[in-house]
Amino acid sequence: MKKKILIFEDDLATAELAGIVAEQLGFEVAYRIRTDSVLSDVAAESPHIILMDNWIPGDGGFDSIQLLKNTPTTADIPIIFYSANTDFAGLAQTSMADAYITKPFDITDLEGIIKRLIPDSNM
Amino acid sequence: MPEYAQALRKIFGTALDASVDGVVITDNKLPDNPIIYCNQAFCDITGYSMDEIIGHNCRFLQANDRNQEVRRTIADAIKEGKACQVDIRNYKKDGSLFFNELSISPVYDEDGNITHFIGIQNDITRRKEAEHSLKLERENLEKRVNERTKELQEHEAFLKGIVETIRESLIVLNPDLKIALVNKHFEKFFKINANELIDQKLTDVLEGSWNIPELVNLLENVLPEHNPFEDFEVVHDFPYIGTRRLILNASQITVGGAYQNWILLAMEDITERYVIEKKKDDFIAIASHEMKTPITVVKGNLQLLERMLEKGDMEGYKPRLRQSMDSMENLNRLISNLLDTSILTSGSTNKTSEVIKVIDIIDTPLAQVGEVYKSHDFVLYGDTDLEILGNKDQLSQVITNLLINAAKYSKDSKQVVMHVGRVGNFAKISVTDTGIGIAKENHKRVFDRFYRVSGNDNNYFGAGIGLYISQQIVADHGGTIWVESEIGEGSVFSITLPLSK
Repeated sequence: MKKKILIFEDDLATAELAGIVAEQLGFEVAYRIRTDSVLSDVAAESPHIILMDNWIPGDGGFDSIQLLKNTPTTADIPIIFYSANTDFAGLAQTSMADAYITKPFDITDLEGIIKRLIPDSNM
Repeated sequence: MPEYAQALRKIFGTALDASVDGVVITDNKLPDNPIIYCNQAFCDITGYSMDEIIGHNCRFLQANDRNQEVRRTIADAIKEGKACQVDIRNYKKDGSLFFNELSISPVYDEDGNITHFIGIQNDITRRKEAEHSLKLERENLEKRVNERTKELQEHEAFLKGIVETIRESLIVLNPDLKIALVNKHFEKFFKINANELIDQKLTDVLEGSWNIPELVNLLENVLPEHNPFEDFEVVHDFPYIGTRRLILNASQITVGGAYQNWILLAMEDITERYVIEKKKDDFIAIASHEMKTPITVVKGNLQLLERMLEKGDMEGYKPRLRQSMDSMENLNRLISNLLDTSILTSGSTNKTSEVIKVIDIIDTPLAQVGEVYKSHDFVLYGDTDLEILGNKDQLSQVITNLLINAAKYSKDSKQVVMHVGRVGNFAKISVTDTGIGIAKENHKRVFDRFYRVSGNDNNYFGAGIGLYISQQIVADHGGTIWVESEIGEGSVFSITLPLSK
């Protein structure tokens, strides 16, 4: 059975790009363009891994990650935090994300992080 | 003469000779009242020998200094047969001046006739000199005091001039933190009269606004050790003037005995500067974020394309190329917008205004956006010949932003309708799409994201900065921009611009 990635990204072109990268790793991809209801989104999709943008409508990436990581049913799902924010590294390190990557990124770096967090991904 | 009287006379004579006061006796019965006796002290005071004195009238001591007021006093006293005492300028044999404290007493016989005058002389030159120099000193002192007072007054006026000219609030505190002085700027800034402040404790005035423990600690404990201190930042909600961000500099001053450990407190209002800098920081944060977004897409797609090329599998390359090119176009548009912002902040719009027809700001954007969104149907109607006053490039940018938004958010229903009409003294331009729409609570927010966004702020609204820029441009032209929309029912963005006449 395919593993699933849930991508929270409001820029459609970026979401599409990340989706292609994940698909090439054998993932099934689901998208959300807002973060008003991450708990129910994650409950609905049951992803194996989450890719979370920072500046995104709704609660935003940072708070959404806190929420997911503080909720027992979603706390174990690895989350990659990514953003084009200038001072993102500092923010990401104080977040509860499992990994972070700064935009613009190399697709091989994103692949590397996904494979590290989901070792048995299909590649 | 009885023996007793003779002895007494000898005693008197000896006493007179021993006196340190000069004594002369004149014979009033002889013409011109000649001196018939003088003692040794008189000789010592005047420098004359006894032989040179006897027989003369006393006036010889006045030499040529004849116009002294006191002579009249003496003359009157002698005439009336009374005693008198005067201070008179006399001259010694060597011509040198001495002040003589002279007492003259007449001697009467049994018949009431004046037989003699006795003069007691005292050299009071030193006392006179001392008095004189004291008087001079007094006059001098008074003059100097007057001069210094004038200088001080001028200096004070000068300093006051400086203090009042400074566009910073200044406050002087005594060691008990009671207010001794505030400058005009302070009164103006805090909207309070100095009378309400003087002699009050700093911590009591302005509804206790200044009762800030860190500040009090700083003034009472830190300042004496580390004088002066600078750049103490205070953010506080003050009565009358609201929340202000102030930078305080303080120095402890001791001037003479009267002003021990007084405190000079200068405060600079950096509220506006802080807001501007915050806006600038936000702008930079957003601008770089927005630029990196299309770059992320281009970079990722190029890497995907490179992989395809390496594998020799070019299936699906076209959408990747297309997306790269679209992102480049987004980036280009973004940069145009950012440049517009920098033009706005430097406030050059008015200088570049000209009379233009509405069609002039519409036709180019319409053609360009129509080229990008080929599958959309753009409809324009209304009075496009209305003349407005404005900057053609900037207003074209607004129209471009509105058209792109309309096209971008109306993917399924592809019609974008543009209408131009006259409302009062304004031209109203409306762009209507039938797309996804905007929730009511976001109708205002779509224009003002610059104020809310910061590095840690997640309230970011991902609609691009075009609307913010558009709002700035329109406002700068004296117009307004707004949106009417319902979720799922499309949006109408409208702007008004003042007509040129």
